[in-house]
Amino acid sequence: MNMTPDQENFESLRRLLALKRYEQPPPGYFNRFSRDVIERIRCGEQLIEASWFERLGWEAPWLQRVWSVFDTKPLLAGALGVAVCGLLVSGIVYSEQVEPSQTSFATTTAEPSVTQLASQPGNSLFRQSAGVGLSNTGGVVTAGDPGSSLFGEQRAHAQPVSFSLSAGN
Amino acid sequence: MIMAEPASRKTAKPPEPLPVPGPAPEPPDEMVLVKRAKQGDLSAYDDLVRRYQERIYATVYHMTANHEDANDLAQDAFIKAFQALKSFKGGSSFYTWVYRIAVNKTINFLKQRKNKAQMSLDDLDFNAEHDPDFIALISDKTPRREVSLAELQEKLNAALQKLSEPHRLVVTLHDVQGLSHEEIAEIMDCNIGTVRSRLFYARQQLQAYLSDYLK
Repeated sequence: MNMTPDQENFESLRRLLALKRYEQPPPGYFNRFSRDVIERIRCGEQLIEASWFERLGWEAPWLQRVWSVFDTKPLLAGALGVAVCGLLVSGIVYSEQVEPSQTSFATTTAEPSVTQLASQPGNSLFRQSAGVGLSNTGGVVTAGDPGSSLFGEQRAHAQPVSFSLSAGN
Repeated sequence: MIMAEPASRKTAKPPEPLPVPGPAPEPPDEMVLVKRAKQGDLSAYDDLVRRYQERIYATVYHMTANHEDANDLAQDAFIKAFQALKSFKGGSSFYTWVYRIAVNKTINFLKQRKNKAQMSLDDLDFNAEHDPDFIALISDKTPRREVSLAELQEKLNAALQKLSEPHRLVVTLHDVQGLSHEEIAEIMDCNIGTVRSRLFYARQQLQAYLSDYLK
């Protein structure tokens, strides 16, 4: 029988390892095994939900390898963590720098003032109101003439009433 | 090198590893069973379990050196496989897929167990006493040691437990169970070169641990 040097070197070890094949579970064990498995499935036994990492092990083994690399090289994991934190912080700082310019733009393009609306053609309501001296005070409309009102004024007048009762009955 | 076959070997055959399936063992049959099991047919799944239970149990057992743990882990692996059957796309054989589940479960279990390993070994088959290799190992190779098979079994398992999980797994799958490098690479999701180098390193380690029994 031709053998490579490796096979030759480890032949004794391989023969010793073959002893393991003689290790057998108790007699009848495998007759029960599948029955036990099926019974556990049938009873709807819910095993503890596999961790996401465990599931990745057989669904995406490459992720587990990446994880094991980090596991064995904590420095690499730390460097990656620092890089992620750096990206996060720089993102926050960048967004704060951008925000003020956006808000100033927002104030210049805020809703038009009442006088601007009044000057627009077709806005008759505002044109009428402009005649009574509307002024823009940040959205609060004040009337120049205290006697006039957009909706008119309803006042109640009290009139004395006298009742006379005849005493004939 | 040409080695002479010992005469004693002609009378007693060493134990053969369990038959290793080819790349796709009985493809139509297995695929039909998987398809039926996916539809909830438990009798089909029972057939699949029966087909692979011994190999899965043996692998887990040789990794843990504990019968009770192996029983729990092997059963859990088959139950997990049934629960995850819908995600099985058929990219590999069902056998390889279940093997991968069992191996991952076992390695995760061993990482947790790490410091409280306790052996609970299966009994040796009666035929072990008549195996010419062991008769030679015990009487010829270690003439000054009175070593019993049980002691040898314990030493061997203790030595295996000293290996890291990936190295132990490669030795178990190749030297104990007789799987090919290609099959091991598929199960462990690594390349064949990695399997070969791990196997070489693991054997070197074992040889050092078991030097008393090999000289």
